[in-house]
Amino acid sequence: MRVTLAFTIKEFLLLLRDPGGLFVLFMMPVMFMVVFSLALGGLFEEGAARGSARALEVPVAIGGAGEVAEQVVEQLDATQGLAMIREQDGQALTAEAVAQLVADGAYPVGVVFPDGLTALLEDPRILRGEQVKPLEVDVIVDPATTAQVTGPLEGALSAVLQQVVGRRLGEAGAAAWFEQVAAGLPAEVRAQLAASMQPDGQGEGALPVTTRRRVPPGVEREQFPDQFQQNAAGYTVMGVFFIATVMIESIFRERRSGAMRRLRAAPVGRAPIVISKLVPFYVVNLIQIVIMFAIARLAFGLDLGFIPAVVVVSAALALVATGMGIALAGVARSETQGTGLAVIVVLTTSALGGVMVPRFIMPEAMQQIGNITPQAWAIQGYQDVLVRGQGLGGVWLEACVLLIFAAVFTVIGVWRFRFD
Amino acid sequence: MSSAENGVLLRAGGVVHRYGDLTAVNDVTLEVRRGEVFGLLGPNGAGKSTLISICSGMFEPTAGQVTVGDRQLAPTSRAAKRRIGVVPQDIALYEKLSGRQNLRFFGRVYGLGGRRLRERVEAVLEVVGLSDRGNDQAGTYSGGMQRRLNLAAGLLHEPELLILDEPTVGVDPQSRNHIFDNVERLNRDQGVTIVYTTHYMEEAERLCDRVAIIDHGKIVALDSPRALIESLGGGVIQIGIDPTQRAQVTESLSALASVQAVGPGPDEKSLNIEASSARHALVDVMQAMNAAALEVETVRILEPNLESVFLRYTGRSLRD
Repeated sequence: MRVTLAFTIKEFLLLLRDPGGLFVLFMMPVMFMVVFSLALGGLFEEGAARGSARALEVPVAIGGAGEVAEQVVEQLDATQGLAMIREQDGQALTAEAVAQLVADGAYPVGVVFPDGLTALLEDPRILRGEQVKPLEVDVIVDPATTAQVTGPLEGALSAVLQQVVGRRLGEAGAAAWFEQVAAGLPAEVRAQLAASMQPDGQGEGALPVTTRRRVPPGVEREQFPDQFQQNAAGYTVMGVFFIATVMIESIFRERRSGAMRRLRAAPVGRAPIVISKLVPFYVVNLIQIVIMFAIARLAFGLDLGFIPAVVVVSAALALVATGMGIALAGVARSETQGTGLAVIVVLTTSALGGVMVPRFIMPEAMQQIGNITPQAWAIQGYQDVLVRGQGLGGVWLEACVLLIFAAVFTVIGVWRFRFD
Repeated sequence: MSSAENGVLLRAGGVVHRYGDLTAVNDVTLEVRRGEVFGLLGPNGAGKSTLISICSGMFEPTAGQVTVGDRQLAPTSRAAKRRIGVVPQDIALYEKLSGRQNLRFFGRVYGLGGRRLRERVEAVLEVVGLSDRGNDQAGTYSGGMQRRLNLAAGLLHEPELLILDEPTVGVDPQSRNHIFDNVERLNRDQGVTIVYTTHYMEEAERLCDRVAIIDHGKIVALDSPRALIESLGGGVIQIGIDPTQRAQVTESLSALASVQAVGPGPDEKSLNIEASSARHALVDVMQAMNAAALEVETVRILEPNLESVFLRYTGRSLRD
């Protein structure tokens, strides 16, 4: 018993000797709780509505579609979780403006009503039951958007269209038939008949209006990716950053062995030692990325798009991840603290960067914070190639930003590098 | 006259190093002559490791400077560092790499390559007697073998100055003797200047031409082991007595002309009698005890050695 107590006291003393490690241990769950709650608040809160940060904002162009489109938009706007944006800077949105907003990534999805929608529903041929060429309401979707986001909007749009257009057609058809068959009846009887003929909004047969999914201009992909394909980039990015924990363990192990101290007496500076630490882990990262995408390609049919662009993003991403590892190793005062810190930093920046859920469903403030994470830029770069079908021209900005992150991390790593 | 011209290879001048409020090295000045084996003795916390680290170019002192030949030593002075081989107290090796892989790595760090590197690796493995185990992982070596490989890594680039920091700690007698032989051969046959820190007096007495004793960050004595021992005088007679007669014995012996001082021994049943010549004083001591009818249970003559020197200058045993 006494021996057990002695060991227990010793362990407590050792724990207390590493307050930084303890801080990390206690802070990790707190950080996760705070960051994930803030980032994902919209997913779990009921009654997300217009004006709240969690409602899905959808730019909409009504143009010359007329009164029917206005009614559809009004009903969608009243739907829980949707907020229809009709204007920008005081100007009604045009079809081109909506498509551009989606292409720019400002909104994940937009709606464009066709000109002449209301007029079509008044066409006598339709009232006579003749076939006419249907009009299409375009749902402009960013291919990188998940089905969980677009699905509810498309479902709501179809249902509201069915209701509004069906009612409109029912009213118009009934009025025409009524005029034809009840023309000779007394006024009182006509009124009673008319009251009993209110349409229920469930039009019969095919509507002359359909919805169509489209990608915004400049986006090459016609095929929309499935869920796994969308997630391949995210999970690859997150996995790559976990190299930081391995690097920290390696550096602290070398310090413990005394080899680092011996190197301090050798005629070499810090930079070669730090760079020699970076290179093997950089190669490991690249191999990791190749394995991830190979599995995604072979097992799940991921279309890799323009491979040189994937290579550019991957090369920059791997540099950032290894740079982050060396920087964290420099900042940490112990191995426990370092690996704990790495887990916190990687998971929180991954969450903020949109690895686990798309950033557009996060509150605006969290989206802005996400912009200062390398993960956000890496995912954006991968999605530009894998999902949006872009080439080198589409990823140069992301690659440059990632290189800046890598440079900053590496400079911190060299500056803070300690031999013992 | 410059250090190089007067045969001094390593010179520390007014070196001070502080860790916050703690002064670990306090105004140390010493010179290590070309071709000598220089011992640095000091208890734990005396500032020995800090001084060795500064003299190895690991970090800069808070004040003062160190030169190797005519070159000032600093963490960035690569030319000066190339002249030094460092064998740290830790087994500073990569356990997962073989002995040869470790040596190739450290050889490259010191600028060796190609055929020259291969030759040097084989040569130092031969020197430390590990040629047949060179391809085994260093982690599988015994403690003594790891120490020898540690030494080999410091010899690869044929340094003019070899700094050995407690190279025999935790080593079996066979490996210890092997290391002694290596040090003596390097110094004698190749003229390598050696700075050697140790806790073991017999090592310092056997190997070192001169020793410095450092305590509380200061050099408190510096000379050849013989000169330091001779400076102590004749030695100590340790006698076992009846504790009830302690005061009477002390009084009787203190009156003798051949006795310099009488003090407590390691326990209450003994006394230490310091004398200019212990052997001559022993006769006077025994006669005085007989005359006073005092009982002598045991007698030991402690010949002075470096341990005594250390005790004299620091008030502590080297292993305290």
